[in-house]
Amino acid sequence: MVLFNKVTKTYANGTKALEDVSFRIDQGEFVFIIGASGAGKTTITKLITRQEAFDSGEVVVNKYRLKTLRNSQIPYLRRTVGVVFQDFRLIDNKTVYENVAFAMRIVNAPAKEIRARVPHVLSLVGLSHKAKAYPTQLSGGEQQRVAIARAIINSPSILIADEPTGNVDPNMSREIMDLFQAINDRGTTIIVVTHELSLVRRMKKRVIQLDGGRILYDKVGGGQE
Amino acid sequence: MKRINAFYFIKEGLKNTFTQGFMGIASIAILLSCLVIIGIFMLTTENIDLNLQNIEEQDEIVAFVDEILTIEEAQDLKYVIDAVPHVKDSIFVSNEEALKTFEGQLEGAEDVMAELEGDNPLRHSYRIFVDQIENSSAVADSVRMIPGVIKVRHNEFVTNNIISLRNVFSVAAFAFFIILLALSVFIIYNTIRLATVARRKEINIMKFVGATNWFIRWPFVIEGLIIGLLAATLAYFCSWYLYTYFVDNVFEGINIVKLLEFGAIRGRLALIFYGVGILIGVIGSAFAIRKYLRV
Repeated sequence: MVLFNKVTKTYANGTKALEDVSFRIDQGEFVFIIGASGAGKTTITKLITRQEAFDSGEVVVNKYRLKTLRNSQIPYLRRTVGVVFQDFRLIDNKTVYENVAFAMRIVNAPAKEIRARVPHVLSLVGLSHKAKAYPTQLSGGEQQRVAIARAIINSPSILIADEPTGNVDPNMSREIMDLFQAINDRGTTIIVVTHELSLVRRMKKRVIQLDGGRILYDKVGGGQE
Repeated sequence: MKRINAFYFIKEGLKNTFTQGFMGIASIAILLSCLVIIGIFMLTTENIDLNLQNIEEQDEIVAFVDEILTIEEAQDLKYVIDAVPHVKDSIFVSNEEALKTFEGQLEGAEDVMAELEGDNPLRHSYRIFVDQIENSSAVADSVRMIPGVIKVRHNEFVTNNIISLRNVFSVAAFAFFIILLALSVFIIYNTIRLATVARRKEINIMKFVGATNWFIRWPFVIEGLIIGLLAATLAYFCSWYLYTYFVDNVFEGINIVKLLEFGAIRGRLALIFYGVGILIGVIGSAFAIRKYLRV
């Protein structure tokens, strides 16, 4: 569950990124956050993962109230939120298997469990045959799927994808959306930040549209042009 | 640290040390250089200190006994002299012994001795040694007050100069050691930080996946520990070789300078090398990644 209640965020350079933003995303929802550059989309993901603090209002992510969250609790909040980045952020000197497995080591998972779960998740994203490959040997779409596998390996309750189709071709974009749908069908909340309206329309999900740091539109079925 | 993680941290620490190529070698080489400089400095100061101690030990007070005292009475003065605070030892020198020594020193001038015609113009005396050179002036003053002691010879100028020299040397050595240590910390910190820049992406990803700061820090700390251990071991053997080479080749035949055997200082040297090496390696690594943990 993600709750934003009258959230305002201004960056140190004076840029007002969010103003009086309120919305609630329940467990198991599939939501697109759309808007032009500078609308405040990425700021929302940064607040959810506590990369940034907000000025006023209230943000609740799962059981964590971010206003009063201690620094020592941030890693535990992040374990409940998987993040997929536009630039993939894979470790080049680790294989596909190691890139995914190390996210499990961080949460202190036993080696036996890692050996069982990593191949399972790699098969879910269709990359079983690439387990021993290095990120530089993969296409953009494959790298994005490794990033998704890493994001869901610890079964987070929320998966946030920031422009996940920005670096892949249209066919791959559709495949990635189908993958998100499959993950969502298992009960994981999906939040996709994008500016690709064609994808949004095709998926027919709830859309929160931002403009100048304010919510312009929050409905199921697609955004305004 | 849970057991399951300990193996992972050690494995990652070892892997990082030996797979980061040039930066790993650079870190070890720089720490090694710093430690060898500290080692050379330590060996030099220890030897200077040893030679100053030798000079101090040669510092003595000579007390001359009044000639009206018999030899037995003069010998009894030893109890009084030895009871003076800070007197470590005293040696009675009879006027007969003094004359023999005098005779030896006047080799080739037998006519001077002949002129004495068997008379002994010298007095009985005491060679007095003090526990610490700082106390020699006070001891000389006390001995001067003893009835039966007619004159005291003590070179206060030399004594005071030795004390000043040793004090200045101690302060300078300590200050230089601290400067050297600070410089080493600074260089190592920056070398490790440079090595860490290359891995900031990895640290950043770990933070997003939910790693705690200590989970990220431990492999770096272990890496620093390994770098410190390796540099300290290499520095020990380098210092051993360099010191032995200098003692055997450069100072050979120079008897005026007394030199320590390497074995006499190896324990302290190893302690300093491993202590400083590990401390700088571990603290340097832990601090170098601090910036990247603030995500």
